[in-house]
Amino acid sequence: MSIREAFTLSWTNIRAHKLRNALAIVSVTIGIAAVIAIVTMTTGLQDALLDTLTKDLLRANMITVNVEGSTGLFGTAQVFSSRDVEYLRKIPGVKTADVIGRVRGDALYFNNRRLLDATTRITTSKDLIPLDAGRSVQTKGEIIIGARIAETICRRMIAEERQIPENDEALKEECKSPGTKPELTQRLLGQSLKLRFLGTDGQLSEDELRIVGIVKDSQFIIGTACYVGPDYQGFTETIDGVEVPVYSGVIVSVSDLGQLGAVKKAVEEYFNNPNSSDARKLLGEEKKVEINTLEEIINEIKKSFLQFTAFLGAIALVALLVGMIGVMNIMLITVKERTREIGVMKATGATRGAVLKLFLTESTIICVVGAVLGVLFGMFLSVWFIKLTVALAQGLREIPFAFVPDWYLIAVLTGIGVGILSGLYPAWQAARVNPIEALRYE
Amino acid sequence: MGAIVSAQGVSKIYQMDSVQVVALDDVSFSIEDGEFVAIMGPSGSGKSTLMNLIGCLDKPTSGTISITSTDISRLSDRQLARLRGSQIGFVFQTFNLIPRIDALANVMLPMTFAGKIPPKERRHRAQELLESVGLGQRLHHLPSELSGGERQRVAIARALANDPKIILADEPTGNLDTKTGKTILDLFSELNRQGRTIIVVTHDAAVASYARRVLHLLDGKIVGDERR
Ligand SMILES: Nc1ncnc2c1ncn2[C@@H]1O[C@H](COP(=O)(O)OP(=O)(O)OP(=O)(O)O)[C@@H](O)[C@H]1O
Ligand SMILES: [Mg+2]
Repeated sequence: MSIREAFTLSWTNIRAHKLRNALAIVSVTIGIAAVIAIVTMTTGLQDALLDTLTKDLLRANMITVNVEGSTGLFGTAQVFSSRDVEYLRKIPGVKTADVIGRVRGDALYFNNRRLLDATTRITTSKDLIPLDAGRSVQTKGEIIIGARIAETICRRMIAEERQIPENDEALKEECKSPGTKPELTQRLLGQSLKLRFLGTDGQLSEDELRIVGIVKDSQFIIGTACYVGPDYQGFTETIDGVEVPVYSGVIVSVSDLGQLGAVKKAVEEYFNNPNSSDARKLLGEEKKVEINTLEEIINEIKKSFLQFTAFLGAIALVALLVGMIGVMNIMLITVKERTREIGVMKATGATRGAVLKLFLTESTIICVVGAVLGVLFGMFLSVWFIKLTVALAQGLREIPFAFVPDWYLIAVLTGIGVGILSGLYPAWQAARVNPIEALRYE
Repeated sequence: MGAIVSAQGVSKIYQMDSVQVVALDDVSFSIEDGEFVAIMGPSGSGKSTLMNLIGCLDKPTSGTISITSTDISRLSDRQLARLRGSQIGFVFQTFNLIPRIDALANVMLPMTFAGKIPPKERRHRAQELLESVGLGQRLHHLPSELSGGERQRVAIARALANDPKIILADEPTGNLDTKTGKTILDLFSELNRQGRTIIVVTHDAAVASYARRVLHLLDGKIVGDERR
């Protein structure tokens, strides 16, 4: 009996019990759909994150230096001193070493009303922070603002003009991502903000800042962060009796990609040595300094996503297992029902192998159809999955829909595998039916 | 011509817990190629048991059964299946057609299992066989859409699918009225005239009258072998 003949016969058999087999197909569909939905979502999330990281934030020639922890460069621990930065700048092959830090006791005001969400950070880099509009900070008295802050300012200005409440829904919509809307950008750039901060001397000071740029609106870039130059630096630590300014992260760029490895090694040596760096002195043994190239960060992200996907995938696999048991159950019923027919088939020349093949084909068809539908349904489901996740997880905005062709293939192969696995025992039962007893079977 | 079926001291004993049921007790006979044989006997005398042995569905407890000079106890399961598929055509009392597929597909099924006839010719052959049993107009009827007599004729066409030498029929008219039964038996006579060996199990003397030889079974023993 050829595969084709087995297929035709099995298909006829499946069609004879439409409802029952449809339910078996659905049980497989659910399992496969869950896997596909999860993979689609996590891949979408990963792609978006990597996209922001590689296109907007980091470049291949950069090495990031920060204290171990989830927020990386933008973390709260300020341990990298100006002396550390000076040292890094002198490592051969280093083009620049820029810092990221926080303004001490920062409070930002627009028209004398505080921008409550805003945090003000310091950066010496001219190109680290991606912008939607304007330019980066060049001198003292300039600021670039995050997308959320830009929205708030925009709403306040227009609400006052039109005499409408600031939380008006239409207004909110109008002021979304103002950095991408030329007429809003025009109005925002050049506006002045007041920054109140504590200087290195601990004295409260105020400065008038002009908005020169709007930070790119992306879900992986904090929309409430604003950036100023190093003039507003206020955090210091006393190390070896000397008071030095400190920062939360350093970005080292190399002039030649070929030197990336050597520079990274030198940076690592500097921070690992307990006596050479101020950061090490401040951190003691407590936390590590993380030194990463873009490639390493990407690999790290991929690794964590893989773990995350595997974890969710394991849950989805349980659904698949349940589906498999469902198919096995249906197949056992089918074999029992068709005992007499199996006897007839054997009497008319069917070998055990032929009977086995016939029932295996049947369960495999059920599972492959289930898998194909599962892929389609999973793609559909992922759209809802994404919406749900975005609604539940704070700070996440949309997750792009990702096609994962490898996984579609895996799903169908899994369908074949599950079909064979779930059909094996029932088919074996069928194959060893004794034809005489089967023919007697009522 | 030589014996197509031969039984030498064949016994079949069913072990049921502590009791042994002797269904066949030291039976010996042989059937020549081209014979039309009826096996008669009261219920429980071992007729079906003997049919199952001749049909290679079972092996004797002792003794040897040979089909076309092959001792079946030496054959593997797979070889037995092949032998059934190519040399033996079964006709059952209850027709035993596959209910989900039409007459044509039912007739093609044994060809699929045996793989002897090339796939392209199967449909054509099945159609010819159905025409030869007078069902040329019923090719695409499901078994449930056919009368009892028509179903039995489909079953006969199916039995002929792989052009077997032997047709085994266990009470083929048991579920049919006398008139319909007669057409079935006429069909068997015709097949016998074409040279096929026919072995029919029956209670009914009228059925047995079609045969040219009658084996009488009683309590698992052959008690009579009359030729006409
Ligand atoms: N699988 C079995 N297990 C135990 N005993 C069996 C089995 N099959 C048949 N027998 C017994 O063997 C004997 C012969 O049975 P068989 O079916 O051959 O009779 P039969 O002549 O065909 O009867 P009937 O005319 O009623 O069909 C019976 O006593 C029956 O009970
Ligand atoms: Mg019987």
